[in-house]
Amino acid sequence: MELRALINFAIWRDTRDITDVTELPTTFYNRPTMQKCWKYLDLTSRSFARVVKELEGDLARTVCIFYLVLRALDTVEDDMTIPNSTKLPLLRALHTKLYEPGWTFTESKERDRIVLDEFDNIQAEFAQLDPKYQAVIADICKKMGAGMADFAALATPEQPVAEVNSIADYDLYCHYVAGLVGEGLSGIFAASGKERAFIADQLTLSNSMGLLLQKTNIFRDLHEDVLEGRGFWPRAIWAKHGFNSMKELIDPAREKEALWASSEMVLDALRHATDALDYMTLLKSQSVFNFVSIPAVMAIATLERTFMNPKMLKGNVKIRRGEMVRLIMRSTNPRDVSYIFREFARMIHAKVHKDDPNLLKLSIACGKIEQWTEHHYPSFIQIAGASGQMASSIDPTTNDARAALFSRIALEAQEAAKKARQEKMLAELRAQGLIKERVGTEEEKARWAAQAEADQATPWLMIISVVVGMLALMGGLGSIIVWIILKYSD
Amino acid sequence: MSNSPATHESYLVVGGCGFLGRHIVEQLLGRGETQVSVFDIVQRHFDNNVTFYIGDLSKPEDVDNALNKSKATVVIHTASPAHGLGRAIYEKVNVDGTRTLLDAVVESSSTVRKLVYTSTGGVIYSGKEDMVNADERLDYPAVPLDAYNETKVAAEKMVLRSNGEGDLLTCAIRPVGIFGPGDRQMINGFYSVIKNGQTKWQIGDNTNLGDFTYVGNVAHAHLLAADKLGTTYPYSSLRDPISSIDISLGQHRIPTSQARPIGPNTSPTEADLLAARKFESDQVDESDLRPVLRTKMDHFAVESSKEDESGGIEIAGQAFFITNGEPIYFWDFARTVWRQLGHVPSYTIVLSTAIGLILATLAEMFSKFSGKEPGFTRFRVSQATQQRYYDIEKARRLLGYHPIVGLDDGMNRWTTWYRGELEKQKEVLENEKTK
Repeated sequence: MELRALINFAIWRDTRDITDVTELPTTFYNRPTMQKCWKYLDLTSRSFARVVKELEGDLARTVCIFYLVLRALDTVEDDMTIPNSTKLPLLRALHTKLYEPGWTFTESKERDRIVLDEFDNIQAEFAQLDPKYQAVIADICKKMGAGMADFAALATPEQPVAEVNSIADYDLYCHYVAGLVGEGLSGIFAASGKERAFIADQLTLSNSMGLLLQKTNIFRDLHEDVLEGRGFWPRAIWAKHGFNSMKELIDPAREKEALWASSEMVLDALRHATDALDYMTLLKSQSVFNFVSIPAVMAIATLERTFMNPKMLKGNVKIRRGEMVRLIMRSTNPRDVSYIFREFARMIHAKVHKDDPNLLKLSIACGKIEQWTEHHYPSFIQIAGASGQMASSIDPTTNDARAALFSRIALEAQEAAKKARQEKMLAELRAQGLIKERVGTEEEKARWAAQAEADQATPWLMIISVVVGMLALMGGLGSIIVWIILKYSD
Repeated sequence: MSNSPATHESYLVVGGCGFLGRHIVEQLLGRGETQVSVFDIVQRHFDNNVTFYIGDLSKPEDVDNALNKSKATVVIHTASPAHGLGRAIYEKVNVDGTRTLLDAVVESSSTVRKLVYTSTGGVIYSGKEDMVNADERLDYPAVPLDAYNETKVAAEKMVLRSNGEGDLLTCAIRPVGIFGPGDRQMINGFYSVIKNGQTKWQIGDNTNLGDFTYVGNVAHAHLLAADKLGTTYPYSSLRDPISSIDISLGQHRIPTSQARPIGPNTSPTEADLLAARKFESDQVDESDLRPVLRTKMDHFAVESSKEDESGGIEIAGQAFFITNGEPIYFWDFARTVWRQLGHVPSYTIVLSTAIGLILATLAEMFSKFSGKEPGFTRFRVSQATQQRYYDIEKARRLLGYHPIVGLDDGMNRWTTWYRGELEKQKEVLENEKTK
């Protein structure tokens, strides 16, 4: 299954080649500074780069620059070798460097330091973006830098990366480092005209989207973060389960309590799932939708994979590439994405331990995703058909009480449309003087309608005779085979 | 508990000594109502600010007496017999009783202007189909689930038909799976499973969602319905979003750049302080309200697209599902009750639904021979394995309903109360022994 998905993906998926001559007017791959920026994106973002490049038109290049600017902020924030006396002013002022040609910062030791070492190239490209995009990027850079500085200021010599205390602090921290990314992207989508203008103002949903992704990363990276001397799980969650510091969470002797804490982390992340689905239903451009839905689906899949999984306390738990590809191929519309969310919600629910202190709340959180899905996309409605020729029908095997109601509504709508069509045609003919007003009683009209109906009715007799014929043929063949076997077997 | 202000009308709660009725009386008193009366067949509560009329609901003279003396303007009719008492008693209370009450309140001499009737989510449940996010458009099934629901359907139809007769306004509340302090029926069921040592058995794969509703929320919905009868919900409001229900999961507002707490910021600017004030208040910027998207099949697809700015949906004459808005997987509910009653099964054995149905059929046959009431029935198997959750958007919008007590809190209140009852029972038994 997964191998097939991989092959399909490699063969069928149209990938945008940003270096192609026809793409150059929007990707500017031929411009040396932009070419470098595309390279930085590959170097610093890995799997995300591909999704960025798939964005249509100049969105890809804009988001690429947006990403690199934020990566620069992140690199400063993460770098424990930069003293706060340098770090805090730099975080707060980085947005001004967007208007300072030639500025670079060469004191970072972080892995992704290239975006600071060669910030001048990013600045050069930023300056060539449409001013409407520049405004969004600079604004988010300013807000994020200020927020990061606020949190970085809490560091002490004993604790170089301050703990996150309450859930409110956790939400706020995630807002600064990820929610704002959501706000910025919504701003860019709206400015591009590829999404509706109001998306830019949907701040809550944009933040929810960012929080879902960020919380998933913070959750998954526990082991790696603890080894590097930091950790962003909020104290409000782990302290409840008897831990005094985040380091203790990876102590094998306390695996059980650590899993309860981890289960509560997943519960907290799931709070944002239906908001994320809400956000995705608002998108109308396919490339933007994919750009948003792919990380969202990866997040819910990661939550499921790491939920109640002791391996995540010992190392990095990843989703297999084949599985990832299979999910990406399915995440093309909000309906299928919500079904994927529901699938993972059910899998998470199936893994809830009966002794989990949050059993009831996890049940409510998963139930909420299921209800969202059934409310927006009732699963007894089947959608089938090739591109452009979509048809929906009601699953004949469904046991959903709504199915009969929906059939009735659909039928009524169809009949109303048919009637309107007929009347329109008759009116046209009458207007042309081709037919006279045919005055029929209600009874006659009903008879004409019935006649018309009969003309288009399903040929049941033919269908039944074909089925019976096939059955007879198969039965006959079967008996012949049996007869032959019996005859020649001894 | 109810967060609505007092109206100072005269209330008569029919069945006001019952499980739900009592919570309604308490909420009416709690919000400062000064004219509260109760009609019931026996008096179980004694409050000095409530007048009790004791009588038989199916006797016109008893009903007239209560209506005349109380001069009630609002009647909340919650009287309904417990399950398992048989068709005759359901007919008598639900059908005859409701008819007697309606006949009395539509009389021109009656002071009653509003009647809220307690129906049940079961009125649309056939027992065969899955109730998946079911809404009020679903019709009554051709064959009702059982005699109880058949009489509830009949009564609900009568009540809704009476809307507009004379100057009477009526509506029906359909609660789903009521639980809470005062309930013995549901919790006794869960408790007997512990006593019989059957908690390790799970029928079905526990993927079916069910609604369970805290009694206080149901009472609150009745008060809202009484308040809102006679008003209209504007079509244009159908385009506004409604808040999400996250009482049990913790209400944490999502911070945004326009509304966020100060956090670790030590030198907030004026803009930061403004954002913090906005965050602390319930205020949400108009532009940040999420658009409401409706498909053709949506419950309010037609009404929400009406351009008619002054028109709307009348509250009177409608039925409303009421739930906690937190559907959960059936066995999770059961396990939470058991855990709160101090019992955690050491392991679980999962039986498929098909095997469960076969065993239940056998158990029913066996009890037929032995003459004992079967504890394990096909009905219980379907209850534990079918989808049974509802869409409450209609009540949320038209009545302004929002559950006040979450599942988590509500279940704790319920089991704490029940543990107290069990203690009392134990003391009585011990006292009897020592005698």
